[in-house]
Amino acid sequence: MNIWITQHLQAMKQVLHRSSINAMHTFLISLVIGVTLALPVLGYVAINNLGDLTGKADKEAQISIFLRQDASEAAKSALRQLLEGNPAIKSMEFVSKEKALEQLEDSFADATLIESLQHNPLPDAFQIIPQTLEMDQLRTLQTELESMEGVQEVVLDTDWLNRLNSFILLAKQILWLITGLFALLLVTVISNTVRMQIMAQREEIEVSQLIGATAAFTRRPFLYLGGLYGLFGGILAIIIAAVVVYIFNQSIAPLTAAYQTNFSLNYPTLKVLVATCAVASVIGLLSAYFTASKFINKSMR
Amino acid sequence: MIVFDQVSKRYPGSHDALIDVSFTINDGEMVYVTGHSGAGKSTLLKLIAAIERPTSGAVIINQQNIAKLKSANLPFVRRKIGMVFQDHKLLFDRNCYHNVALPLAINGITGAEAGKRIRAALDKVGLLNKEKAMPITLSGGEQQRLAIARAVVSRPSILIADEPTGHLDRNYADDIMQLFSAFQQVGVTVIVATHDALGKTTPKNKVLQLQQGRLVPLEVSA
Repeated sequence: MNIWITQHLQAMKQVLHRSSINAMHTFLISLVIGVTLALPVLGYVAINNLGDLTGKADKEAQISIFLRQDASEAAKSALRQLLEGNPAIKSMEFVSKEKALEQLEDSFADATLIESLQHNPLPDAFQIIPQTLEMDQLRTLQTELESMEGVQEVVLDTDWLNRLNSFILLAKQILWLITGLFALLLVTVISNTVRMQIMAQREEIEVSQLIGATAAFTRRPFLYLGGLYGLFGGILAIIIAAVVVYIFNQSIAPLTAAYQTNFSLNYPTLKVLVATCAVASVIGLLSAYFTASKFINKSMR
Repeated sequence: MIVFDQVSKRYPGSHDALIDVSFTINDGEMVYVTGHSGAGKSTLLKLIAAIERPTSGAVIINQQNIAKLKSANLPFVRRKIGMVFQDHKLLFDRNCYHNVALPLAINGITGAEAGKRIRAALDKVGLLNKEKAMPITLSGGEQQRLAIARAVVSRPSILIADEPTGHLDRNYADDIMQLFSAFQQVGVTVIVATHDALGKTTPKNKVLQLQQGRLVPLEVSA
């Protein structure tokens, strides 16, 4: 166990030493990885902002509750009380059938058409605005309302919400796709860099194996190298993303001022930083593992 | 103890490098392996050092049959054997000290303990004053001695040298051979391959003479 720790420290020290000697090279490779990772990170930041937007949008969902024609006054007031006491409802308005008819009359140029009706075909209705914009919660609320006494039909007006949600879903899927492609790119870059390092240390590897180095011992420094590239690349990616967000916010400031809103992109959070570094390090580690193993197995019969 | 029992070695797509070789080397013996180049000396040494495995037969080193060991276990056998390669295989990107440090690092020995052993090994071969020198600045004889220091630093019980005096002039060669004798005197099994005529060999040393891959009785040259 002690030897195991010693050898890990040794490998880490060796890699840090080598990397610091070739600091410029290490930086450039990390920069390539950083730029590669910055794009998915920026995509994530943008989509996250859009997601926030649906949460705090001044747009709202609307639910219309149409009552049965034969609903009694008692049933109506009971329903009103239930709706007022429901915490999921932000505001409500009662639209009587007479008022609805007036509105309908206003929307027609030819009033005689309405007047020709024998009786008012429109139902009484409640127009409510729910607290939430989450589709699932809205559906639950709809079901709950439909089961209430005297309710004929509950109509959810969510077209725009549906559109926005499916747009975000699409954007997320595209982001995943892009992230996958960039991860592949990362594997290629790190594998190639590690392979070059292996070639540079080929003699050392050969001699070490001849005098009793195990495959794990030979591979270990390269695993640290791959992991280190990933880590540095991840940190650089967040720095690049933060700079881009800063520049973006600066340049849209006049625009948002003109529209009197205060929209701006959020900076990547600590969580994003940790996740990016972790993912990049793991990709680096795995790429290095497979590259080094392939070489070691070939050189050791 | 090293035991070869009817060992043959054939490299893929090549002739038989060793054919039906059997012998025993006891602990603390000094053994010469002789023969023309291509007779199979290097192959024999590689089999003892667990760098190659026999095609058939048994190679038993310290009660372990190399032929039957898994690849993953071979490195642990190699660590118990000091090997001086024909072409030294020194690393020219680091100084003498760090060349000798490599086997210790593989064994997980670092720090002060490693430093002590490295200096002891360099001292033994007379290179203590060169620990910071790069191998490229050393003479041929010094490079050979550095290779020996690296082979003995982890205190192996078996020391193998492939043509250690091949490229050296007489004086250097004698120095090197005396060094091997010194290791044998402290109990190390020493196996040296050489194509030189064994002018100064004392009769008590065992000689394995190879001819086209077969062990042949020693011809006493005039």
